[in-house]
Amino acid sequence: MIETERLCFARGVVLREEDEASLLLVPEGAIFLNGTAAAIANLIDGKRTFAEIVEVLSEQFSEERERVAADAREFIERLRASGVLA
Amino acid sequence: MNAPRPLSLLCELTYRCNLQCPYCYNPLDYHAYRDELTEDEWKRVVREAAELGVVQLHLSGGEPTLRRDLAGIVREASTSRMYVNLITQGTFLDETALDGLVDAGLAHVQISIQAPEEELADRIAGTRVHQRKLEAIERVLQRNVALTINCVLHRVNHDRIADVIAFAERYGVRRLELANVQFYGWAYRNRLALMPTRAQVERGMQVVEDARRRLGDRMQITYVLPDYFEEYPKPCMLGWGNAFITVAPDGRTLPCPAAAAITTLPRVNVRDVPLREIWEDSQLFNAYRGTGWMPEPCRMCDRREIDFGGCRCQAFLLTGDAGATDPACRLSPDHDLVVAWRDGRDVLPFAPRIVEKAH
Repeated sequence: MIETERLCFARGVVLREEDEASLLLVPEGAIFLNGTAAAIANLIDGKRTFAEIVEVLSEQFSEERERVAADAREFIERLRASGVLA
Repeated sequence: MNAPRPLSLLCELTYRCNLQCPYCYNPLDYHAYRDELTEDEWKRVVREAAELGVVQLHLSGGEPTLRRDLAGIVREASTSRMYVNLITQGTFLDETALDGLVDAGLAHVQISIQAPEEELADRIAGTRVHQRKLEAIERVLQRNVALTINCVLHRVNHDRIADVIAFAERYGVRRLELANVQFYGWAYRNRLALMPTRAQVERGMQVVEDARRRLGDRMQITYVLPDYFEEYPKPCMLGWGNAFITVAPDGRTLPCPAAAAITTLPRVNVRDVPLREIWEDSQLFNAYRGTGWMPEPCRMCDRREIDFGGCRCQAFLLTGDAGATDPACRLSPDHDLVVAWRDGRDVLPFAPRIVEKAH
């Protein structure tokens, strides 16, 4: 993955936040997100790059950048493989 | 039993259609569903579903765009924060209709094609419509709405998968669904014309695998295998009464779009009973909910919460007992029914869904 690429959801992907859950709505269904995944999904806005998202997360969770990056990379690659990212 | 949260509502707005596809899953007696819910009734159904926690609305048919009030129903759902998906054959998606739907908040359109080229496509559809579908596909691609191309696969077009993929590639479509026919309604009636051969299915899998490797994340290809060729049944609707609600054109409410075929279960209609009561308390939705209803070999099976005993409708159509293990499962005592059918030599010409004037 290129760290300077701006991340953006594909057309037809909607992030829905409820009181007790966050879901990604995609054409064939809904993907329930855990806390970390929801935090990442919230930062995917077509403007931020992967590196910037990691930066924000590592501050938000007071975690080392490397650890955050590893988790985020795995999640984003999963999203990409399932066509959720543009 | 405690009802889980439903996530998805399928509204079959009408069973009217100008096509005559022999694999249509609509009931054979679709003429009996002419007393369609009004726009206000559909809107009420949508609101009641939103209150139950449903996040996704699928609008289907028949051909849903034959309903002139479609955009109003879409707007009601998007206002309720639902994700709205239109499942259409596309022949009525002109500029005005499409703009109205996008403006109302439509998120995704699925357009079906019958085959990758006109002659065969129109032969399967029983009418000349392929060209109009191509125009609809182009219109959708120009607008801010997601698109999936769908092609139902069966014996007659199964050898054309590579061409269907090339077709989608030519249009730059990001999502392609290649769905093997499922045998309900007209498709069940036409099963001896439609069942693909094992050789076709195996070649198809190879073609899809090669295309996925070549296209990477440029195109998502879903290939839905016929469960007759697998060891285990499909996890139908992720379990009966677990996540899905279907409402037929006349308000009849069902756990899945094929379940009207199960004649042994009581009917319930959203015109008479609130959706929450149907979902939580009706005998129909509780009939096969969870795992308590299961017979052997499902009851002790490690896969009971993976495939939920398979499809109740298929069990009923093949064995006469909707509570039986799905005969598609190799562990089912009735599995030989599927084997005989799948490997049978009988091939019949298909009977088109009888045409009904669109009005």
